[in-house]
Amino acid sequence: MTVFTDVVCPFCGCLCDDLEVTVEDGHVKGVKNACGISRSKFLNHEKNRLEAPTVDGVEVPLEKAVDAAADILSTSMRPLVYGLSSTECVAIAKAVELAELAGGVVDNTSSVCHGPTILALQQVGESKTTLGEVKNRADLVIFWGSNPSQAHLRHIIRYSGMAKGRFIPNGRKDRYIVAVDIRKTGTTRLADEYVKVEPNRDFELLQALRAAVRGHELLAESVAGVPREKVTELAERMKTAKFGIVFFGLGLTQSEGRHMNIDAAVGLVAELNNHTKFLLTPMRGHYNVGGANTVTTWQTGYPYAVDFSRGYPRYNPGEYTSIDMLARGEADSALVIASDPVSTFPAGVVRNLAKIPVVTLDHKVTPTTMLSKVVIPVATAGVEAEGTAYRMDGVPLRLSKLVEPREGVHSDAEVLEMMIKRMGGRAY
Amino acid sequence: MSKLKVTLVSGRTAQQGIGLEEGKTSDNYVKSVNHVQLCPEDAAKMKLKEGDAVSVETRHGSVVVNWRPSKELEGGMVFFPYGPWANQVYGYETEGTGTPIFKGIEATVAPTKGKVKSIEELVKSLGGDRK
Amino acid sequence: MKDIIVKGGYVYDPLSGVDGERMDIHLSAGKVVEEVPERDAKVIDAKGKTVMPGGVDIHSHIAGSKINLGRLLRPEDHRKDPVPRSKHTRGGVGYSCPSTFVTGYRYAQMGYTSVMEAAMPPIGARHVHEELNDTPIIDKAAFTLFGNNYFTLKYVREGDKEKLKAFMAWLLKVTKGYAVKIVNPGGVENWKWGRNVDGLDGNVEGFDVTPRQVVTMLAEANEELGLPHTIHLHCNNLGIPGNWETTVDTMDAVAGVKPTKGRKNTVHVVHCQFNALDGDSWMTLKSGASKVAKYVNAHPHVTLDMGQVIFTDTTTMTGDGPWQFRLHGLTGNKWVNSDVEMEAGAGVVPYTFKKNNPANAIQWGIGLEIALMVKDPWRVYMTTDHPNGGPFIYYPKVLAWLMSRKARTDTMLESNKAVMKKTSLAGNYREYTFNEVAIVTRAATAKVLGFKDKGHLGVGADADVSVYDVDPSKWRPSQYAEIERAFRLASYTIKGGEVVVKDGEVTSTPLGSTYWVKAETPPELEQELVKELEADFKKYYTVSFRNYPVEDAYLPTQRVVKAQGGVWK
Repeated sequence: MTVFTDVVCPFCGCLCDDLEVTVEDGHVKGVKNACGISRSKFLNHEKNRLEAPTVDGVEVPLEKAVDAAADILSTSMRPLVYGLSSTECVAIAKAVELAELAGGVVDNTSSVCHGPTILALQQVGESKTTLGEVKNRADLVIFWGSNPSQAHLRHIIRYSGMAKGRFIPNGRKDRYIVAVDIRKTGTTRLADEYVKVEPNRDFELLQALRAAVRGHELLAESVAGVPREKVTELAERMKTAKFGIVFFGLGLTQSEGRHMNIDAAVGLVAELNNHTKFLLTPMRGHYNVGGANTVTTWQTGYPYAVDFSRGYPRYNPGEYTSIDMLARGEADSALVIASDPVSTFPAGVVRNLAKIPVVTLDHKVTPTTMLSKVVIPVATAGVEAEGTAYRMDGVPLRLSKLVEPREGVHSDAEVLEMMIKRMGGRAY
Repeated sequence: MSKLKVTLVSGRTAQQGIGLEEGKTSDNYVKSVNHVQLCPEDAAKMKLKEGDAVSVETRHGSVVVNWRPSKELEGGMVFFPYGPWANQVYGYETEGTGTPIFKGIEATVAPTKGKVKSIEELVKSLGGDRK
Repeated sequence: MKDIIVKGGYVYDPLSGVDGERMDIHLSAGKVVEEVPERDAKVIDAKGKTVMPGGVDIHSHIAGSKINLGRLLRPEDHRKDPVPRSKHTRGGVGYSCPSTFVTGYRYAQMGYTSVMEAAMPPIGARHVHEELNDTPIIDKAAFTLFGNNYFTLKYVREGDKEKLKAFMAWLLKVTKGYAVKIVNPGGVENWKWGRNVDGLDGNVEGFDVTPRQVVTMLAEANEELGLPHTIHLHCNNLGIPGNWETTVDTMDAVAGVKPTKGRKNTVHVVHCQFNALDGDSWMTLKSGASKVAKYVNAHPHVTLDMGQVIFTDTTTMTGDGPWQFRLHGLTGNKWVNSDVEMEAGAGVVPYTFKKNNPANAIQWGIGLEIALMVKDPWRVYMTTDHPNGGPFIYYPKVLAWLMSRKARTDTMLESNKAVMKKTSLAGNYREYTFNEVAIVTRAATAKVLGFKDKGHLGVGADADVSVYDVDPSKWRPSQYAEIERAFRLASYTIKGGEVVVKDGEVTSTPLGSTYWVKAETPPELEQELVKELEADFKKYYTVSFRNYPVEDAYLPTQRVVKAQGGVWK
């Protein structure tokens, strides 16, 4: 029996790194300190696994599957490489290299989650911090359109709510927590204040707060369903906090306004820095979606939606983003790595994905593997394969290999490398 | 009352997270995402009983799912956990941003005698019959 | 790998005392050797050309979270400089925030073979090393940020220099860093509350120490540890008119520090242009270069780099959070701030240096004044603080300005008159020689960094050689465009004995090495230190102590440099 300590959890953007995993006879037997989802990940990683590589549903040796995948990608005009948020960074780098080699498009799951956050950042910037300063200093924490009680289960305990730090010796008692949402959630329940905003009207509320922070008088009786007094009170609270932070989620990026909502939030926070310290940080979902953006950016200059058809990287969200590529019927093949677009994309574009040859690298059976022409089982990163992941705040951590994958099963990076070799790529 | 006009919101749930780590074909996952949550008052308006199915419809499509009561929701708001069932009713317009809208869209909910599709049936209906 | 003879060029190897002599350089197994048999060697004809050791950039921002935030922030910057893939190279983007591959290629194309990443936040060290591993050809090292680190401030407050030394050795080891970088000491800690520190004797909140104490103790500790490079210091008050005084005060604060054996210098002041401003405001701005140069000329313990301004659109990025917020306020340009728990921070703001802007014209003049007024070229180095003053691809332009008064005059005539009135540049007739260029771009930088095998072509040196297509025996300063052309694309760049650039084109892309420094600590002291660190990590960090050190997996090509051996009490 081996007990691994300080294990990094490969589930959400929190990348909690204090897990204790017990391994016996090459199998995970127990997990300590983990949240429910993390526990499920470690204890169930052997369930519902893909049994063997398949082409058209028929089991084949790995080499045959790699050949078939390479053929599909090198003979298509507009291959789309997608996914990458639930694997480690070498695999992400290989996926970018493969897309370049194939003259295709490489995109990652941020295009359906925090893509608008990135668009706003490119317009107006962003003022952020690693989570430790929140733990050490934040006396005002605002969750806006985010619900860690369901999506980032230990965020509030480890970083933003209960966490005790240098200037927050009493943890929760030293913090005022505000939750802005369109509905009550577990997070609004534990907040000191719940601000109920009408659906699709966050932009208005953010701008009103910005005006109030500047000292303008609000004329409307209520903004986005929030009474004027509450808006000015919140603005005052923000200005007088010693250290405030907004953790925002898909409530802002996936509702009307999208990047403009984030633009307004960034503007509000920048404004507040004329009065006190204020920051904001997106609640990134998949554990290494940050890494997918980070690696793609250092290799190509751009974080997602990168097209190599001209031999150099081009970037245009709305055009080279997966949803749009598929909606236009433009992608004529797809390589999916560590993602399940059939479960995460609107049905209208999934129908188009079903029409083209899809190559999928995954460890488990998913709706996407069900409709893929080529399926290659891989090791689970962070359990059976090591590598780097970037936390939601950009902190890089090392994922561990705790157990061996089944014989003949390789990591995402290794399989991608085989495909690159088969496609005539060279070592750089 | 046949149809209820609602605002539809998608999102993550812990159950969905736990389920997907077991596997997308596992019962736990399927149960965590093949339902909508609505407030007991709205359910009463539609005379929904436990075990009934509902049809959720938007301008993009419709889907039959189970329902669960949620005391946290107010009348007129329906929560649909992220997943292949929810995706049947969302559109793919990104308006140049790359990101579709998954939150705060107009929908109707109605009782139905229809059957909730299995994950295999759902994938098949999308054209994915390559097994 | 075939042996190489670089034949018949004019060789500039100042560390070996070779000043433009025509001679052959023999390379074998990655090193410079006495002689190799000509019949088995690849012979490179360097007749009529300039031969130098590979360039060594002492201060640049090429890898890690800060430059990557710049890349992320600026698609518009990339779009003016797309770089297609070729038979030997990956595609990417260039200009002020180049992708990692393009960074490696373009440095090599200019004949540079070693580049220092000037600011590595410890908790982000893995990120820096991952990017360095994707930066081909050149050798690299990264400087670990110390000046606002919780433990630095704690040990300075406690006056415990021995513990501080042990901490420095430990942090360099676990981050795989090469030197001690200090950015706006105390200012970045105060910025965690949205404030700055008030100059060299201001208060660092929560610690009740001053930047003066921080700098002095870090400098003493650095020298007592015998680290190969001195402290690498970005002074307080950067970018604020009148700051020359802070700069000189800071230099003077470490005047009494005893240098480690074998050198006289104890501090390197970075991108000095930004810290040599005189006047009370941007309206009354004038050059403070002469005042800084006067001090430096009289005090051998100081080295500098220029931080030369280029008139172009670039991206400013520093570990100086409060300065970047100030610049955001001055320009209204988009602003990224990125605080790093317990240790550092950073900011990124796009900026355009304009010829017709009086302040920018003065800044342009100050950088050159510093390089021309500091008499000893071994103590002032050519940088643009890439990309802060301008992208590194403009280095050849800077060389032209240094080597040709006409080049400077021609630019001055196109620029705001303020540069004539508020700097002394117009009256400066000095023109760098080829030998001086070799000093400020490779020989002196390698020396001050403590790279024994770099920056020269003596037997045993690394086989890093650049050949430039300019004949120094015929060149005249009026032909400054020739310098720009020749130094932009080397005829040959040889890295580790392999030709990596030929006629300006990249022909091969080996992965260079990453250097880091190992300093020994008495074991009992290290144990005691680790116990203290571990306790504070539990309380204040969000990563576990065990997950903090960078694993060997991130250093596939590491070269460990040992510190000279410490002086311990």
